[in-house]
Amino acid sequence: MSHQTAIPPGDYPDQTVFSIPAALFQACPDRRVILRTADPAAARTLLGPAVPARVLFLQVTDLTADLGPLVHWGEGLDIDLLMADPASELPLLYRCTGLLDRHPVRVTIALLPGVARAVKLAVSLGFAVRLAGHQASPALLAELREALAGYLHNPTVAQPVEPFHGLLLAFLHDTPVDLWSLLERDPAAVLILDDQGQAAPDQGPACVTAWREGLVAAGAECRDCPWLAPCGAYFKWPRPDTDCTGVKSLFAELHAAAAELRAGLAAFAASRG
Amino acid sequence: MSTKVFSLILLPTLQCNADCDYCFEVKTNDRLSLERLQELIDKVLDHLVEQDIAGLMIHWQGGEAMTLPPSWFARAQALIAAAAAARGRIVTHGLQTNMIGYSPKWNPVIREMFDNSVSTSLDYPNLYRRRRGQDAADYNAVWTRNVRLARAAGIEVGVIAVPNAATLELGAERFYSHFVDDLGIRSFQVNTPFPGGESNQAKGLLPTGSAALIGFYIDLAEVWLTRGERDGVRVGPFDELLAYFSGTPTVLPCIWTDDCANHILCIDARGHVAQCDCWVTSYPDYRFGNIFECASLSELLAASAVVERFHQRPMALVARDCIACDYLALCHGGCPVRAFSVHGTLFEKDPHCALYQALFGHLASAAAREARASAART
Repeated sequence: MSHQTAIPPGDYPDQTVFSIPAALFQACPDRRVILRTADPAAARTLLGPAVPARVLFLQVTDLTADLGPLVHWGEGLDIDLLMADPASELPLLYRCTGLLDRHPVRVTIALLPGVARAVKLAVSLGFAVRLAGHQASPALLAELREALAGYLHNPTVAQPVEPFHGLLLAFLHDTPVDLWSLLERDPAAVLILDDQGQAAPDQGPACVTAWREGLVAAGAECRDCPWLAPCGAYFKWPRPDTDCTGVKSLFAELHAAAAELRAGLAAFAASRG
Repeated sequence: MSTKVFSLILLPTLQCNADCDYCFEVKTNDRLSLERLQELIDKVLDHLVEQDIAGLMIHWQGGEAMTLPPSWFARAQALIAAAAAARGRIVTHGLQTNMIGYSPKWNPVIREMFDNSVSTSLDYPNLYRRRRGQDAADYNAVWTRNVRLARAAGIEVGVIAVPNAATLELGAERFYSHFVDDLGIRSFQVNTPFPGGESNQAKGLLPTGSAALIGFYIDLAEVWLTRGERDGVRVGPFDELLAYFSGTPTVLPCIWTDDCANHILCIDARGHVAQCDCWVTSYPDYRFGNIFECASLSELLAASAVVERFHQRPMALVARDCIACDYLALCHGGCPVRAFSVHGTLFEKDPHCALYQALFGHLASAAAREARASAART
C-alpha cells in the first residue's frame, strides 16, 4: 500500500462514518469506515490478518468477484454484498453462501427491476437485506409490495429486510425511526466518499433535516403525510414532485401488521394472566 | 474455525448380500483396504483443515457395510480417530445397513463407533427387497429377526422406507401401524422413490410425481401428527418440517438444501468421488475424480467441471420457476439425482416438486395450528 494523503476531516463530526473505497483506507487513519471493494483478495491483503476495529464492514461491489479470500478470513466481520442489477445478478447469490459460515452477511439490493425476486432469494439463502434506492416506478412499487408480503407473511423468512424490519419494530414498539438512518443514507451518520475522497454527489441531500423541513415549509405532500416522521421525505429525493401514494400504502401495511402483532402479543399476555 | 460439519457418504465396499430390484447402485466386488482408508481419510481431513471446517460426519453405506467384518470397522474407527486428533477435527459416524448380515458380534462396534444406533431399510409391503435367489418374504423374515435381536441388545434402529405402488393402495394408516405398532419402530423416514441407475421394470413402476403419492404423504403426515408426535415417534421428513416451521433448529434431509455440493460428498471403495451414492456407483460421467489419483481433495474439487455443474443447477433453476415458489428457502429445486434419473439432466427440478410443495404447506399449517393451540393452553 502506497502512502496516501490523509483526507481532511472537514466539518464532519467524529461520529460520522466514512464509506470509502478500500484503497483510501490509510487516508482516513482516525475514522470509523465502511470499505468498498470489487476485489476481496486485495482488501484482505490491505487489512492484514486482523481486521482493525474501526472497519465497520466491508462492502463488496462486484458479485462476480472471487469471494474465496473472505471465507477463511476476518471471522465475524460484517460483509455487505452490493447487488447493483437484481435482474441479471440474481443467481450469483448462490456463489456467496459460503460467507455465511464466518460472517454476518447482508445484501444491499438496488431498487431496480427484479428487486422482489432478489429479496426473495437473498432471504431464502439466509442473507439479511437492505433495499437501496429512493423513488420507484409503479412497476417497482408492485415489486416492493411483493417483497413486503413475503417479509411479513412467508413462514420461511427469518432474516431482516430493511427498511421493512426496522419500520415494523418501530411501529410495534412505538419508537422513533427514520428511513435515512435505517438505510444508512444520512450523510451525518454515513458519509460516502468517492475515489478521490470527495463527498459523492449522488448520495442524497447534504442535510436530511433541512431537506425534510424545506419540503414541509414549501407545502409539499409531506406536510400532511401521516408517515412524515418515519419517512423523513426519503421518497421525495431526488424529485420532490414525485407522487407518494404507492409508498404510503407500504407504510400503512407495515403499520397495520405491527398493530395486528401488538394485539396478538397483548392477547397472549392477557391469556397468561 | 467454522462450526460447520461436512458430510461424507463413504462406501467401503460395493458388495451386497441383497439383490433388490429397485437398487440404484451398480454393485462390484470392490472393497476398501485399511491402507487405502488411511490415505482416503488423510486427504478428506486435510480438505477439512484447508477449508477450516471443524467436524466430519461419515455416513457408512455400501454396497452393504456389513459384508465387511466388524473388526474392520473397529480398526477403521481407531485409524480415523488418530488421523482426526492429529488435525484437531471431530469425526462422528453413522451406519446405514440392510441388517441382513447382522449378528450380536456387531454389537461392540455399533456401540462404540455408531453410538449404539443403526439406520436400516424396509418397505411395506416389500415388493423389491430380497436376498439373492430368495423372495421378499425371506428378506422380511431375516430382517425382522435381526432387527428384533438388535433392539433387544439395546441398539436404536431407525428405518428408511420407500413407498411403492402397493404402499399407496394399503394407505397411510396401515403403513404407519406396520412400522410403529407391529414392528415397534420409533423412528423412521419415508424417502421419495426415484428410478436411479440402470432402468428396469421395477423402477418403471415406482410412483414419481403421482397424485396418489402426494395423497399418501399428506395422509401419513396427518397420521403422525395425530398419533405419533404425541407418543414421541419420529417420522422423517415430517418431524423435521414441523420443527422448521415452528422455528426450532433442525436438520432437513439432504434433498432440501441450497446446493448439496457445498455440504455432502461421496467416496466409494475404488476412490471415486461424486455427489452421493447413486452418482458414484451408477453415473461415471458425473464423478468428480478419484481421491487416490489426486494430490489433494481440495484441488480435485476445485478443478472438477462436474462439481461446477452441480453448483450451476440451483442458479439455473431459480432463474426459472423455483423463484416463484413460497418454499424456495427450503428446497432450491430439490434433489439433483432424482431430477437426473427422471429427466436425464441436472437442470430440471426434482420430479416430486408438487409433493414437496403440498407437504411444506401441510406442515406449515400444522405448525401454525400447534402454535395457536399452545398459546391457548398457556
